[in-house]
Amino acid sequence: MKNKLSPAIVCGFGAAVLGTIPGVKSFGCCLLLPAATMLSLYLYLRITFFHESVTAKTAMFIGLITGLFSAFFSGFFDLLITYIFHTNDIVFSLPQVELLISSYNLGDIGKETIAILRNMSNEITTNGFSLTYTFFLLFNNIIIDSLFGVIGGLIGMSIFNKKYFTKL
Amino acid sequence: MKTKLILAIILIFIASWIAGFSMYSFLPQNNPLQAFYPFLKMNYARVCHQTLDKSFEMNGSYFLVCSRCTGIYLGAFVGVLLLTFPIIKNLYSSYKYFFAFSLVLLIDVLVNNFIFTDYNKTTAFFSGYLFSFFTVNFVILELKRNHFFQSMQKHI
Repeated sequence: MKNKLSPAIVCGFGAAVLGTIPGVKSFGCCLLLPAATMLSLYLYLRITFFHESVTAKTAMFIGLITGLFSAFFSGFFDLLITYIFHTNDIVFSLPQVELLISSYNLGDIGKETIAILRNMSNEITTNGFSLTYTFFLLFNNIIIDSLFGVIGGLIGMSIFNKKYFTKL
Repeated sequence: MKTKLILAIILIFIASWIAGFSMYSFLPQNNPLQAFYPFLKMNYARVCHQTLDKSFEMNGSYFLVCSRCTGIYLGAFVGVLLLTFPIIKNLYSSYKYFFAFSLVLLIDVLVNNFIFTDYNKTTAFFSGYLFSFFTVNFVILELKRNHFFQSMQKHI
């Protein structure tokens, strides 16, 4: 378990840091997290001295925990930056989003959406923290990062098994 | 048969993911789903920079992911579709194809971001498309070789 946990923490943290730096995300895009998971799997193989081939179960597990650590760390960084600066993308884009939703004449559901966004924005600008925003952020990060982590794990498993454990 | 079922589930999942980032270009303006736009945008922001200059526009609305990501997801969809309903059998399963197109993707990222000032959406789309198409083929055929689908069948 320890052999799987330490690479996942290191790579999850790395992916979260890289995802926070402006500009880096535009290069890595949706491949940043799968790449981090592949590195995590490679580190796991190094720790175990390439003892045996990676099973799909191990690959998916390492992918999942790398994704979860990445979700946790990136959520933490996002909340910390929001708390320090009392602003974020939600606050910046609120006027345009309000205009857009109002122009669609969606009735009550449109008004509800605007109310939720305004509430989030107000809480962030006054306190630097919003419980609703935190919930959305963490829920979103956990689902997406776990999923992309598992995908990265399966890609990594295919590559490393082919490269290190297939007899030519 | 069960392998096809698992692939079909993956296919439905990818199709829903693609529908999520592209639907605002096709929905009528008064559709209630328009109200979820900010939340869906936040959802896709986790895996894409969503720069408007680098995203496709259709019917006056931008996709929620960039052109490269659009290509990656479409490539994965077509790859899984061809494996679920195999018209061409195992033609693209090679490890070499996977590495070749990873290299193409990397070169395109470097060229588009550092050499040319104008971002080329078409090359970004196709490099992403080819990369994910061959990756999906390579990974799924490797999973088949490792009897992954047989072990999954026990849980379905």
